[in-house]
This record gives sequence, structure tokens and C-alpha cells, in this order.
Amino acid sequence: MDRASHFDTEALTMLEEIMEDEFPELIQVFIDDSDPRISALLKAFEDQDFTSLREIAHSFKGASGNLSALPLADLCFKIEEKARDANLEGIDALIGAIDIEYNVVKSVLLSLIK
Amino acid sequence: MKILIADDNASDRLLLSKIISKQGHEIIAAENGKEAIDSYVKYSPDIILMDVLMPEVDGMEAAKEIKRIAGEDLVPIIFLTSLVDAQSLANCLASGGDDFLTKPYNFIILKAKIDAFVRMKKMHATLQKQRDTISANNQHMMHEQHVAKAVFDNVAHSGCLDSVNIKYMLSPLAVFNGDVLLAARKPSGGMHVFLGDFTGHGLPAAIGAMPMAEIFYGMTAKGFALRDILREINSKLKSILPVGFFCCAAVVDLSFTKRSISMWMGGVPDCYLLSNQGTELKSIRSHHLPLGVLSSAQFDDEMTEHSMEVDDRLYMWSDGIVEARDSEGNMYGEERLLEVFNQKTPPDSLFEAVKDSVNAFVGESERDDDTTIIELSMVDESELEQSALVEEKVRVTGPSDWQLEYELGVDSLKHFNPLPLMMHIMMEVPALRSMGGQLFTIVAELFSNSFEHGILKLDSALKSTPAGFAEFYALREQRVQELESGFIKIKMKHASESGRSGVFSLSIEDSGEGFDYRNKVNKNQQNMNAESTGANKFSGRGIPLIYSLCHSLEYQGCGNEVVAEIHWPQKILAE
Repeated sequence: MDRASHFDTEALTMLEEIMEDEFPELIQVFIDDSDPRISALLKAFEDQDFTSLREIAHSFKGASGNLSALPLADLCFKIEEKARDANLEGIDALIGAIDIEYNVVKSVLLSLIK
Repeated sequence: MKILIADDNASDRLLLSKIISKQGHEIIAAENGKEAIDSYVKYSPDIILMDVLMPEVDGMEAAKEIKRIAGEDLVPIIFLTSLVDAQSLANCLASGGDDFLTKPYNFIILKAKIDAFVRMKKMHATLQKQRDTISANNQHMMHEQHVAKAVFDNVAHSGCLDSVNIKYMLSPLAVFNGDVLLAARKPSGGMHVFLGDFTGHGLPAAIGAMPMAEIFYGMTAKGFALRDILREINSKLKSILPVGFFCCAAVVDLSFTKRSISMWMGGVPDCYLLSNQGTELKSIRSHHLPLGVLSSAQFDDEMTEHSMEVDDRLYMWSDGIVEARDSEGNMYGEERLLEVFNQKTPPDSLFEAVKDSVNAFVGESERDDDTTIIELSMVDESELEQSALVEEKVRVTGPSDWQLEYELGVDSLKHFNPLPLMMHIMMEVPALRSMGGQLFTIVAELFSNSFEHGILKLDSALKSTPAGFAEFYALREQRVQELESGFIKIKMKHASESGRSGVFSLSIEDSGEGFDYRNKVNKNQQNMNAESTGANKFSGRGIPLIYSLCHSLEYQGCGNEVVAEIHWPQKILAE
């Protein structure tokens, strides 16, 4: 697995140093928070609820950014922008891409705390 | 410091909490804007980190509300945002945020920002505390000044300043100024007027005025001469004022009967005397050092005499008038002042003209000195209201039944003037106070008769020519020097009937040979109502005047003792 194509590895290392023994907890909290977000995004997409779409994507973007999962944060940002412009086009594909990217990020993070 | 972190992302909260608690701060966490507001009210955190987009109440709204609640307290709010466009960041600051931090966080910058706001917060708290202290002190001081000012005004700008022959202006500068204006009627008639200008401003300048005014009024009321009053004030100020503090003064002894003034000026600008219906202007220059500079031994009480007819006016001012500045800082100056006098303004409106000229010149600019000005006119004494001398008709207290005997030996006679002391004793009797002038005349005349004729054996016939007048005083001086024996015994007695009426008797006995009073007094009494002129003039003993002032006047023994009786209430005296 190529960690560098999913993370800013330098930032991730720094984060690990800062969090010390609370690093596993941070990962766990991130995963607990993020797991429901994929289905929440899908639901908001089906309901054409742009406000929810935008808020969830924004929140997801912030959280993944802070864990240095920058490609994931970028995907979230794209949904946030489309939702802001009330543009449904391609959102389903983006959610699919987020689902895949998130699962990679998740397994990398979980491998770090084993 | 307590730091509130408001973010809806659990992982972000955890991350921030970890970083900031590592810096040694206490963390309070909130999951949305509403919780943030509640936590602010509950825990009053010192600094707030706030996510911009949050459910319930968003970050910007929460920030506005918290700032509103905080009021004057400084609560730095740092927005946490993943928004990156300039407008969004500007909105963060516009809604009351103090700074922003973009996600993903740069840990080094986050730490530095927290440190910076902690410093700012501490500085603000110090400032606020100092401001509150200053404000409390200032309030306290203003209150004290207002109370002190009320006392000061009662003391420093009082007496008979409202007399018909006085116009004056006091500048409203600050709360206090160092200018003092005092005026008092003399018990013997006439008036003492005092314009003083203490160095400096404010309370330090005003404080010296208190004892000065006390001395001025007290000694004037007791009949002391102005020279003695000045000496006393000078010595008092010299002893109480710090070095470098003194009082410039222009002081006038105005005599309505002699139509003249005696002036003492120290350190003040020239005074102007306007006479002859406003056609003649004379400036009077200060020749002395201010009061409170010289020791008593060096102090010069010499006064200059100036005659003043009815309607003549004397103008005195503190240097604040001459040094008053306009908005460009130019001084008003003496030339502008003289110009007003030379404009042929009618004397009646001259005072207002000077006032208007100064006010117009100064305009709206802040006055930087105390500007005091007074106009003193010569009038007939009868024009002055008696109110200044009439004591309040409240319950009469003070001694009513008393007597004393006071004997002055030769040494005392040579060096001591007992009149102020005698006046002081008489003035303790309330009913006698309103007769002060009259009593002073009686005591002064009878005492000087005893002293000059009885003790010094001077012949008052000498005084009938101007040359003889001078000789009389030269001889008097010489005999005082040579005096080796003698005494004067003064007896005073007062009795009152239930406080409604009373009798005061004064006896003065000297060790001299007396005189043939039976012959002279009788002769004089016959001439009482006729004009006493030529050979019949009862020179020296001044008796006709005294007769008119007393209920009775009798000589006793060989003429070396005289007894005067004064009854009160008095019948209205015919002028």
C-alpha cells in the first residue's frame, strides 16, 4: 500500500508524535465519526438535501484534513462545492470515490495503531 | 488559562485538546454554537477556538452573541476553518472573530497563536484593572475637589465683594485656581481689598488661600491696620508655603472719608487708576516682592498713597489677564489692555469692555491661567449697604455681664498698640459688633488723648498749622523714645438687661496731670451745636465727635480719667 498517495506522511508522523499515547484514541474517534458519513452522504444525495450534503462534506473534509488524509479531504471539498452550487451532477460518483478512498485511509490508520 | 474549543468534529476536538492541554491550559469542549455560548456563560473561558460551520448555532453567530455578552471584557475568538477564500476569512473577522486558523492545522502556528492571545489577554486584564483604579481614583478626587471648592469659595471669594463699589470677574478655570479676591469693611469705616495670585494652579495653589483669608478677615474685623495684616500674612505664608511658592498681591486700604487709597503691590501687573470722569489714567507699579518670599525682618510694608475722588476707579488684575492666550497661543498683553482704556469708553461700562475684550480675544481656546479682574470705585460711604457689618440677628450669645481692668506700663506704652485687643474684647459682645466703627473711634480717640496729652504731655495746639502738625509728630516720636515712667489704666464694663438692652462703659485713666476739664468741657458743650471754629476749636481732645457718639462722657479726678458710656439699642443717630 502506497501510504504517500493517501496521506501527507510527514504530517501524519508529526500527528503521531503530538498525540503520543492518545493517538489510537484519535484514530478511533475519527473512524467512529466517519463511518456513518458515507451512508449519510448517500441519503442526503437521494433526498437532494444540499444543506446536509454540504455540512457533512465540510465536516468530513475538516476531519480528514487534520488527519493528513489530503486526497480524501479533496474529494469531500468537491462535494461541498457542488452542494453549495446546488449541482447534483457527478455527486454519486464522488460519493463512490470517497467510499473507496475512506476505506483505504481507514485501513492505513488501523494498521498504525495495531 | 481556560480555553474553550467548539468544534462538531470529535476527532478535531480531540486533536486540539491534546495540543493545547500540552501547553498547560485547561480545556472546555463544546460540540456546537449553542453549547459554546452556554459554556462561555458558565465557565467564562479566556480564549475561544471556534469552528465556523457547526450545526445548531454556527460559529459566526455564536461569536457575535459571546462578544455581546462579554461587553468590555476581552474574549479573543480564533475561528477554525477549512474555508480558504478571502471573503470567508474576512467574514470571520467581521463577525467579531479576532483571528483564524485554517485546517488542516499547522501545529506550530496554532501554538504561537495561542501564546500570543494569552499575552494579549493578560495585558488587557492589567489594563482594565489599571483603568478601573484610575477611574475610581479620579472619581474620588473629583468628589473631594468639589467639596473643597465649596469651602474654598466660601473663604477665598467672599466678604463684601458684592458691595456697590466693586465689580469683579473670576475665571472658571479648572475646579480650583490660585486667584484670591477678598474684601472686608473695616470697623472704623473704609474697606480692605485683597487680590492675590498664588503660584501654580489647582489645589496646591488654592490651599495657601485658606489661612490667608482667615488672617485678612479676622484682623480687619478687629481693627488692625493693613500693614500689620500684610506682615502677618507674609510671615504666615513664608512659614507654611514650600520654597518657590508665594502669592503675588495687590492690596488696597480704601478710605471713603479721606477719599484716598493706600496700596501695597507685590509681583502683580501694573494697576490702573482712572480719574476725572475717565480722562486721566495713572498706572501704579508694583514695588515689592510677593507675599511669602521675604522673612519678617526683610519684609517691606511701605504703602503708596493715591487720592481718589468719587467715581474714580481702580483696576487690579492677576497676570492671567495679560497672559491670556488665544487659540494660536498669542498673549493678550498689556498693550491690548491699554487700548481698551484709551478708547474713551464711558467709565461706567469700562469694566464690561475689558471683560469683553479679554473674552473675545481668548475665544474658545483653553485659558491657561487664572484671569481675575476687579474694579474698585470711590463712592460716598453712605451708599454702601450696612449689611456687611450687621451681624445675623440670630440668638444672641457671647459675654453680657463682665468687666476688666487692664493697665499698661511704660514699656508696653512705648511698643504696643492695645486697640486691636480692646476691639477684640468688645466685639465678643454681639450687640456691640454693629457699633464697631463707632466704638473704635471712641476708644482710639480717648486712648490717644490719654497717651499724647496725659503721658507725653504734647500740646495739640501745635496741630493747628501744617508746620506745627509735622512738629507735633516729631516731638511725639522723640517723647515716646524718652519716656521713662507712666501708665494707662483701661477699664471696660458691660451689663445687659435680659439681652434686649445694655450699657457699655469705658474708662481710661492715665498717670498724667490732667487738665481743667470743667472749664473746657463746659465751654465746649455750649458750642456743641455751633460750628466749632477758631479760638473755640477744642483741638486735640476731639471731644465734640465723641460726645455725639456716646450716651455720656465725663472727666473725673483732675482730668486724668475719662469715662464714656454707650447704651444699646441706639437711637438712630442724626447724621
